[in-house]
Amino acid sequence: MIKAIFYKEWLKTSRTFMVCLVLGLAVAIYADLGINRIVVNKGVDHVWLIMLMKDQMFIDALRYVPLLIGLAIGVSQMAPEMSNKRLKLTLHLPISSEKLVGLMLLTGLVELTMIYCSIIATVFCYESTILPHELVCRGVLTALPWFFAGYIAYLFATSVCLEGTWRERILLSLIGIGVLTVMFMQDAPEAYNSMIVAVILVMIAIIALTYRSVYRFKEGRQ
Amino acid sequence: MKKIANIVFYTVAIIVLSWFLPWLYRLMLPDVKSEPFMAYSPVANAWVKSVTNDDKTQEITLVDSDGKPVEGVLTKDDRDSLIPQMYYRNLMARKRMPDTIAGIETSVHNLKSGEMVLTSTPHDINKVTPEVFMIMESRPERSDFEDPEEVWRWTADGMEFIRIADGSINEDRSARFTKEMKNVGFVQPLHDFSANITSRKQRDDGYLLVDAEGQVFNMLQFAGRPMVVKVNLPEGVKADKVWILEATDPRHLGLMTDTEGNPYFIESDYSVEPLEIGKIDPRNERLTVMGNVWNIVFRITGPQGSRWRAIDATTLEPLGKYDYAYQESFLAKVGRYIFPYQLSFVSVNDSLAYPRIIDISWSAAILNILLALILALMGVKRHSPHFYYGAAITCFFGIFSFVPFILTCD
Repeated sequence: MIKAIFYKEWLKTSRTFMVCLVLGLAVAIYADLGINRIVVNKGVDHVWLIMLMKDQMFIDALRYVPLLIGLAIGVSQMAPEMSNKRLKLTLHLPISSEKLVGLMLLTGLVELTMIYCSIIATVFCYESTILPHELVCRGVLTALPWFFAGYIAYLFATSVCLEGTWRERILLSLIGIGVLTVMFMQDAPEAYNSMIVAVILVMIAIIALTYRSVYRFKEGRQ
Repeated sequence: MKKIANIVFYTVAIIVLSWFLPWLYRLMLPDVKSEPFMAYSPVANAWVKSVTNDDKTQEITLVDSDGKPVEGVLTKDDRDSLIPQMYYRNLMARKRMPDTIAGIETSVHNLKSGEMVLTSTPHDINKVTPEVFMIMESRPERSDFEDPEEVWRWTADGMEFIRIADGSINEDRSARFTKEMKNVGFVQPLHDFSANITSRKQRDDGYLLVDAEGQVFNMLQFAGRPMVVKVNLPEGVKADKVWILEATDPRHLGLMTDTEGNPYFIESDYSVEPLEIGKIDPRNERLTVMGNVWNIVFRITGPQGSRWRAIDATTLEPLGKYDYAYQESFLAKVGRYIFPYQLSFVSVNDSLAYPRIIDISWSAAILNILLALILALMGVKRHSPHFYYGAAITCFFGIFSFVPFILTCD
């Protein structure tokens, strides 16, 4: 049954996953090429100088990509469940609704993790060939909130899609926008270092919102 | 699980609204803080104060050295004559510049050589800095400075120099600098540093470093070799923050504050001169230093207002002071009655993001109770525990919890 659920989720998201993977890698390669162009034209010392003196990390192209990918995966996975109220059928499968929702979310989170790891590896493996580990780590820590925003966007997208009433959908969307805005408030490198643990805890807590939408759906609030 | 899900929903909603509503209030009703422009006149030995009024007209007055206003309004011509350090080009073009002022010759060369500018903001200090540092060659082979070719980092063994071109370690230079730092008694870890890494300057004074024990060192790279000199601090003084100046006049190497907030000039002979301008908290206050051949003006701006202190450029004796306190605006006062607290994730005082509760206000308790009563009455009318929970929480969180509870009633 568990395998079947994973397969069902994969069938819904496989196309979006491939598109998101290609998009993510394309933007990552674009960021690498941007750095490489500066290395060729002005020398690697110019990249170091700008990074150290101007707080510029050369990865701005990535900023909203994880967020878009999170939204895309979330919508492609959960929107089909709400068309013709197919979620009713899904919830009738011989498995507890908690476990079912957990497996659905796990599929999406694993897919996101695979895409995000590919992006991080593409950008920072190249950077590690021209930069010291301090600057590579600085880049990773600067980009980390953007990837957390991707997970948060995914979780809010699933809770909004599975919610049965438009009023709650709008409320959840507004709260989601508010939480996501926090992740893009400060542009300075490594600005979110002291918040990383709190953000992870918030991410874990937000999983409960998807369950809330399913409970409300089961109670007939549609 | 359903209860937990509801608790998470309302908690996240309250957190988001605690930030969003005050932010929206400030965005829609901006609270503009303006302050006067102050300069110390070497001619009148008084402050020249310029205030831009609401109708964009400028009001220029004199303020005595103790900060008390002097009657009468000045014209722009009067102002130009009173602060020649700023308007000397105008005065010279109109042949109104005297040959000497306060015994100092007023040639362009002389005026320019006395100029000093330094700006330090909490935003630049309170940030995560990379653990690698660029270093310039202070005595380049050609007359112009060149961009650094190496960076250094601290390791357990000492300093490690990395060639930027290929990322390799310069073992020779690493060993020389490590030995020199040990010889002068530098104690790791580095507490603070200041350097001006740019090739567009006339002189390189290298780094000012503060070690773990509050000792200050000046470190330069001279023809590829280390030159590290310990600054002689008075007994019991521990440095906290340093700034390299690299002003045209090499008399002052830098500025520092000690752990008590007392400011000092670090002189070129590696002694320090205490400054009688009061304490400075550079992590929470903005500091601007404007120097000229006659005087040096310090402007220190904090959350409550600004204070200006003028000292004699030669003797460093105090000349004048002026304090300006911000007034709380009507909109800010109204905000205190609406919001029991405000949540912010960023601040003008740092480059970091983390949640911080500001402006806790007991004045909002009246509105909190009023909103809680509304929810309680709705609970009585609809026989719904949803509203009772909402009313209890609204007693503390006010409008931030009232909004989600009222919007989610079925």
